[in-house]
Amino acid sequence: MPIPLPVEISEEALDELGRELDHIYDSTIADLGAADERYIRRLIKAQRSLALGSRLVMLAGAAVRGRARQPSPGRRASSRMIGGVSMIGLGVAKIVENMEIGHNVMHGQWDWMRDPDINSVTWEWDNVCPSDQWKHGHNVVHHTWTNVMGKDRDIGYEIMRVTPKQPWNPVYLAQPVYNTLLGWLFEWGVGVHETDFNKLLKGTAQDRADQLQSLKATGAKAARQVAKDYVLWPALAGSAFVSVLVPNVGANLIRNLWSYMIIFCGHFPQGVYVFDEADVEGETRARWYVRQLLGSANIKGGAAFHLLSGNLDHQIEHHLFPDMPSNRYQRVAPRVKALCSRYGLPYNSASLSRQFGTTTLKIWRYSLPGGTDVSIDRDRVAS
Amino acid sequence: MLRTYAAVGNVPDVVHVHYAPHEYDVIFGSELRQLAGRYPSLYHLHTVYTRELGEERSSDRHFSPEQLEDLCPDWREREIWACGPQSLLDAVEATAGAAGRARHFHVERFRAALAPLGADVTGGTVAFRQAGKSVVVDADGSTPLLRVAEDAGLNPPHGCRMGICHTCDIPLLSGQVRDLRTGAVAGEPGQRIQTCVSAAAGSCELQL
Ligand code: FES
Repeated sequence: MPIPLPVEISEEALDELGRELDHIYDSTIADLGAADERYIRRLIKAQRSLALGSRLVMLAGAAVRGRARQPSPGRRASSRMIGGVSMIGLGVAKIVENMEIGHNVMHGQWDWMRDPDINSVTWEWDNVCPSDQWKHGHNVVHHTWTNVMGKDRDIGYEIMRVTPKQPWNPVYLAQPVYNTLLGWLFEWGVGVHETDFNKLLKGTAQDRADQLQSLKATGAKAARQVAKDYVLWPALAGSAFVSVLVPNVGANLIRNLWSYMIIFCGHFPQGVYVFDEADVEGETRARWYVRQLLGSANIKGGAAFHLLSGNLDHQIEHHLFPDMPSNRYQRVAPRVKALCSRYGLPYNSASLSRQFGTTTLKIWRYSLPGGTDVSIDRDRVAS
Repeated sequence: MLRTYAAVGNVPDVVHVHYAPHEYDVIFGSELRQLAGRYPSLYHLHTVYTRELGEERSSDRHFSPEQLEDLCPDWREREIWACGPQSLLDAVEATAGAAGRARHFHVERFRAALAPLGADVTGGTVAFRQAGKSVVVDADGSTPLLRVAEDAGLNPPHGCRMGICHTCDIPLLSGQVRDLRTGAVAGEPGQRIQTCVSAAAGSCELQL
């Protein structure tokens, strides 16, 4: 049985919709050129300068504090201020690296440039999750099976109940608490997400070996990250080690909380659809598109927000065209939206407070048993 | 579409706004004028020549809501069919949308989304090179190379099998391949190609 749709659309019209979306994709890809290249190269340069600049300022702040055991109150205050500013700078640099650069480069969005340094094969991002694990769990599993129960491991990340379709169990009672914790420790959650702990503990010998391997790879990557942020850079400040360590921790927390918030707004807000495996049997390309559309949500925002969210405020466009360079999403969005209105399909786009608010409410509500499926009433809709 | 209607002698009430750089660029120009002469009350042809005034003023002549108002005051009561370059389609679509007529806006395309494979499309011999050995098989011009490799007993990297994840990308060593979605041919040595949506275009060599 194909996915249920909120409106009646004939099979021919659906195929036409698919062709129109193909056309948006093809014409955009055919149009890629120097301006797009300039965008990503400049962005990478700016991001690296910001990261390095922030780290140097961080060291300078530590130097201001000086070697004295008891620095004067004035010195201490200005050192703190410099530490704070550099922490925010590094946090923003990490956000941009992870979201607008790393995530999108790993999708293959920039592979067409054939730059050996900016491509999905070699890019290793500033995150404890190894890039090859991410590419499998995200590009293959999540993007192919978006919001299909039992297939997409990103529905509640297998630890939370975000739809009444998931059977309740008492562990979920604690999800409002560990949801918050996940926000603070987001990169670590992402890092172990690819490891299937069920298989690790209860699987066959082969399963256990595989999962152990993946956990080890995360461990190795995490060790490098920890060494870089929490040992080597602070060590450069000598005795003022802690004055550099603290802003590094802060920068990672800023990145964690921000990316958690943006990413949770992608598929959990009110109005997003969840599907069953039976829904996608023999799915056509057009219906795959419609599933991506119904299963994703956009956030409204301006140019700075596009950048800081890695253009995931255009989650719908990203899911329709995962390997289209992200700087193009804002330009194709009006066309996608116009198509939706022409076919009477919903286009879930709202403010950050609405999207994140309803996401959080759902996490609280579904920690308890029951709950109605807000996204779709199967008896009332055409299938 | 018009030709079909005219052939059955049933021309609907149509306002046709046709843009072209110059008069001699109008496709089917004489046929359209003939039609206008035959059905003066039903078929209204407006040709707009965007380059006639010289480059600098050409944009004044491009599609605009004012111009549409001028040429076809009752456009809000009509179905709108558009065909042309993307910028034109976007402009017309935006105008229609702003007037709440998005549902009455239709697009005709020059280019089919899924490229039909012409008679000239042929496969060839495909060589998959691996460290120490290589597997050579015959492939047609429409089977994805991922399938070709699997049918030959190989197990190349793959994921979604629908062209979105790039797990299946491998370098092309020589020859040409065709993207089955767009029909575009790629043939630069060293270029990574998506095997799940590419087929051989003649003989080629790939690195596994
Ligand atoms: S297998 Fe996913 S792009 Fe080819």
